[in-house]
Amino acid sequence: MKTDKKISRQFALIIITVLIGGTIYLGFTPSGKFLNKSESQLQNSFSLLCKDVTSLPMPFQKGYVLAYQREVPGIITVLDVNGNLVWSYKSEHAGFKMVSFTRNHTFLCITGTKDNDIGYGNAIVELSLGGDTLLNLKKGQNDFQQFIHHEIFLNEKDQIVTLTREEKIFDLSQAGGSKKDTVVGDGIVVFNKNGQQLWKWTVFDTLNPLNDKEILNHKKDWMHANSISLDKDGNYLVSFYNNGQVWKINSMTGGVIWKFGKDGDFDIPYNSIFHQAHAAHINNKGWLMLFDNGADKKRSRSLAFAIDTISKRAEPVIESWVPPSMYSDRMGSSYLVSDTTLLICLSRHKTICLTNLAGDFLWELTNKDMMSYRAEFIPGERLTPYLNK
Amino acid sequence: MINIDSFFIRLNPTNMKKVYVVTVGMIISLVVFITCKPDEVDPPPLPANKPPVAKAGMDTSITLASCNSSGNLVLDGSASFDPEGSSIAYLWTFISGANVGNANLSDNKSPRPAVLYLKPGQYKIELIVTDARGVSAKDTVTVNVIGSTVNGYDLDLTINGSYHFDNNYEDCYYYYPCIYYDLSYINNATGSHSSLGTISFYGYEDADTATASDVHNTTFGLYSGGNNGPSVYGTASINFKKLYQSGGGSFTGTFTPSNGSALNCDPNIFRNITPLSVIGTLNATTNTITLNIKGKIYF
Repeated sequence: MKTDKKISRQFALIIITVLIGGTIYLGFTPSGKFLNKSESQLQNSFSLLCKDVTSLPMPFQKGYVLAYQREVPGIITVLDVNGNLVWSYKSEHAGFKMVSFTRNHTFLCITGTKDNDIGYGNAIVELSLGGDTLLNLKKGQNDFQQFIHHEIFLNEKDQIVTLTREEKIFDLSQAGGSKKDTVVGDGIVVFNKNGQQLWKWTVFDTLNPLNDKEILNHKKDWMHANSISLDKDGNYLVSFYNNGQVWKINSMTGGVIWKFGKDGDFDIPYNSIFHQAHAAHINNKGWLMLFDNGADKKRSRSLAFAIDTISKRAEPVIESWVPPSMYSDRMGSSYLVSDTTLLICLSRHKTICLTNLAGDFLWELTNKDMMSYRAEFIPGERLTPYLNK
Repeated sequence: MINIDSFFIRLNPTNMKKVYVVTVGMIISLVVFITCKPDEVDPPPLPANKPPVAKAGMDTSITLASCNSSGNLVLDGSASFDPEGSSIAYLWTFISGANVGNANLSDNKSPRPAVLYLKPGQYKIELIVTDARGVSAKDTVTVNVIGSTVNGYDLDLTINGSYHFDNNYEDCYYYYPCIYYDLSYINNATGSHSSLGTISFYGYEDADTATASDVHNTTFGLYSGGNNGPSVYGTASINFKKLYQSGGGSFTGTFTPSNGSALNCDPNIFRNITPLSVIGTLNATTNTITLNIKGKIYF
């Protein structure tokens, strides 16, 4: 054999197996805190229905689902494809109104105490995977003077972007109200981690509530913004429950670039016009995706549109209904996972499911005690390597 | 102490690997497989290579469920093979039709990729298979996607289902302070139609408990062919809450379609439509309901 000492670089296939101490380490230990309810009790409160997890798309098999409890006590949970808790955190004093998993592998949260409206929060908390509180900004500190709600995330500069509750006094006497009437609207605020305001926008910059003929009925929650996300160009997408629209807002000037939905700027096939939207975002295919609560039909669906911002035409690409029995009139989310499946949070039914595009349930996780506002998919590569650090 | 052992293994005539086993004490072992060039291991003479055979599957047609929907299907190239029995690599690409809507291939290196988001039109998709020695063959499959059209169907449909009533439904999860309303829900209700097969029905009524006039709002829906099948929605004239609270019994009324999947075929389809007539019975003891719906619907 003349090749004993030769190594072919061109065709070399090298598989290296490292055995450390004779064991293969595959598991990880849940971290976080439990103050009262034991970990096993929390685990047992989840039930999973799935015929065969190995038939699910591989990214979902390797990934995680983030869900949380808005009421007090607040609970954050991260579960794997088998419905096993891999991370959790509990607060006896505040509910988790909204939680996002950041690119820094932390959990950024809007928290709210019992005296808050269910959707609103009065603190911003950032938690590490080790359960440490990295940030705790409370309403009243620095420029953080408003209630915040429904959405929070870190932008590319590690600044905090969230939605605010804004109040403004208007003369509503022409509409049957008082001369000094309060209209509650929404805003966008960008904070640094000291709670200093870096940028702000309010819906009052764009719309005059006096033009709303039903303003007396709407004034307590005029527009009800319920999600904000970043478009690929760095501008904001904000969904409003009450008018069933998604707005694109210039993140520098605050100008409204377009309005999408009923009576908006785009030509949308009639039956794809949504009635109430949640979790509007641009998915990995570049489509505008949202969860349509469907309060008009009493049926909820996932929708994704390929939008042409020049011709202002929108083609529905995904339209996937959930069964009528799972109609979810409030809250919720839908995200495309691995091209062919949808991770849907049916909040009203305390159910998170993975469906195919035909709407068939492939994986169904329920927790009778937890009504998560949203369910976020965390790809395995974003979390697995960091769980034990 | 470091110890290195090596030996050869032959997987097939063209694939021989040298295996090194590196042991560091009792703790770390490295197993290294090195594929050797044929000339390095004095292989036997290779037989002439025959090209692989590509089989992209049968041409197919699908009809979209509604004017609003897009189609998905799974291609099957798994009948492709290499005469020598070696593994083959798959690569699927659109050669026409890729610009129809937003159609795309999911996992185009799989033997069975999904073709997603198909809109009406013709798609030609090419499969190239390549054997271990880099020889390729190709085949093409054609997918015709046929759009949906509006069809009218005469209904005389008997539906059986379950009825749920929630008195003073407390909604505290979203509203602060809590609000209350009565909720009626007809669920798991299906009937059979000669052309459409199984048709599902649901009804949803929320009634304001705070007013004496008992404002109620009833929505009904009919759909066939699974969750994403063609559908019709509208309002019902029947006050299920009052009927239930008075002990149930028979009822008559109308369902007026105002919305549905046919709208994208014909935006005027539900204008001035004749309401469907409904007769039925609500059993307040067993919480079951039977409805007979007559009239014309458009899917």
